[in-house]
Amino acid sequence: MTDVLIKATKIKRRAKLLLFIGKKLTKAPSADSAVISDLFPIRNSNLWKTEFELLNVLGLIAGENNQKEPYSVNFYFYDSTGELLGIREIEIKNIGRTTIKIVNLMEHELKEAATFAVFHPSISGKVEMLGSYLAERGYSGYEFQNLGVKGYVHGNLDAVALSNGKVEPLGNSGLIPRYYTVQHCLRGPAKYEFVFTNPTSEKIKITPNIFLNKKKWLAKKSFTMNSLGSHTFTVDIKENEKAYVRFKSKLYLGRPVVFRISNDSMDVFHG
Amino acid sequence: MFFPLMKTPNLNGFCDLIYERPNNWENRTHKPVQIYILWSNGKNWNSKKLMEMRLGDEARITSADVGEECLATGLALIYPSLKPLDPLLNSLPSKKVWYSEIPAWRNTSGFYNDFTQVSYQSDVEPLPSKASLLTFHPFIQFGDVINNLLVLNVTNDPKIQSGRISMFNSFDKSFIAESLISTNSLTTIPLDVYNFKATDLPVFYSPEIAGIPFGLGIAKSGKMLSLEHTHPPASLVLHGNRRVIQGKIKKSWIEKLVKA
Repeated sequence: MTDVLIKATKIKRRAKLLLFIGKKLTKAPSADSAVISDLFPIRNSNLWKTEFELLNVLGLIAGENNQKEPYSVNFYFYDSTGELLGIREIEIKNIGRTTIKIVNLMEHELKEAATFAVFHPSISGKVEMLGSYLAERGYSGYEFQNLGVKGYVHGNLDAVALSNGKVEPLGNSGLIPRYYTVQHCLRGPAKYEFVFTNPTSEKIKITPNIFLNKKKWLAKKSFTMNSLGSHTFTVDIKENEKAYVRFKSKLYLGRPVVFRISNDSMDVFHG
Repeated sequence: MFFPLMKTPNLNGFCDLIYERPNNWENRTHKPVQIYILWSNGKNWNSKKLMEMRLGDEARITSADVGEECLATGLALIYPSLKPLDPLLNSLPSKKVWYSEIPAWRNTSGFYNDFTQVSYQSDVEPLPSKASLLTFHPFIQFGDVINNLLVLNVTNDPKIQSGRISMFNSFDKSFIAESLISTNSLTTIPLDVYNFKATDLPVFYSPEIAGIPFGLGIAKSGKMLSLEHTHPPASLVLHGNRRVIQGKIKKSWIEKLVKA
């Protein structure tokens, strides 16, 4: 009898796995010469500045950060609906690290940019990659209220690839919605901003749920993101309040970047 | 799966726990758990029960709440256990109670002062006793800020052993300095004495001890803290045979740095 139960449990687990994660979290790009980037959120206002730490990723992979040949990187800027607004080419200077002030690039058609991707030149043919792709998962730095110190957060969704000149969303989504609980107790007084990007080629609907002061889970108004679009969900937590938040969606990994704003300071981390 | 409680000079550490599963399909555990704090004395892992948590509970554990002996190495581990633990352990418990894969079951660790806090979504798996570390550090900030490198190491073996970590300029491979890091510890290495420029990308190499490296920035006003982990070389690529690529990247850099 015990054996039958164990077998049934194993079958149930496998079925669940197939149902919820039938595919990999992200797809491999379609072209061997593709390069990958995350979609990095932009905070740009009187209160916020965004910077990006641009490194010679190709050189770091090849074991040589002294880059004598010219080396340009393309920044692709998207608005919150997922529309590509424009591209800016930045030449990497032959130095260890270049801090890019994103606001300096947000002129003309880029004024409404909400996210950006960073595509390095293809490494294909230069270094043996064994089926791997160069990836920019690097670091955005956010400064709040001119505090003089940035909070850094890395990319974590491996969102898009540049394959033969075309941008290809890499995120997978499933048939059945699932919950992702942010593993963080929201503590007041604070304003929390959860920034989502949609790394899939589909429209994605997300329903936030809040568990406030140990009462019960309450569903909040849903929002929808186009492919490569973004959305910020905001929660105010009052003094002495505590809450958990979870998000229902078909995303395999609906993990936002979290900004916690409190006492004229801020904290940023990936959820 | 362990959750770190860390201590570094001039800041307190915290570990925020929530007993809520990160997803609704992977790990359905719901039994009450005993929350233990574990710390190494160099010979054994000490364990002490802090509380019981039930599904839906939350708790904040801070470095100010626990005895100084628990954080003598800068690091203690928070562990949810289904069973009582002996006060002295020869190795870390192997049962993973709060565990999932997509996403990994994490909690929030970080630092705080009178003004603000900084968070990191943390989960720690023990590292091999003998392993190497190579990482690039792009977080050094300038102005009224204090920059530190933190290296967190946890092994099953409670021994506390020290090993070298060397710092180089990644551009010209010049040697900058050497310091020590320790197993089962959080090591804080001040960086401002090396007068880095905004265009410098230091690379750190430890031949004997692996770890999770963090850049910690502290505003001199105290009003802003910054904490993020640096990537291992495997993060420079995705898909395919990443482990082999990581090995090649490390070998290529180490050969050049050792000659420097």
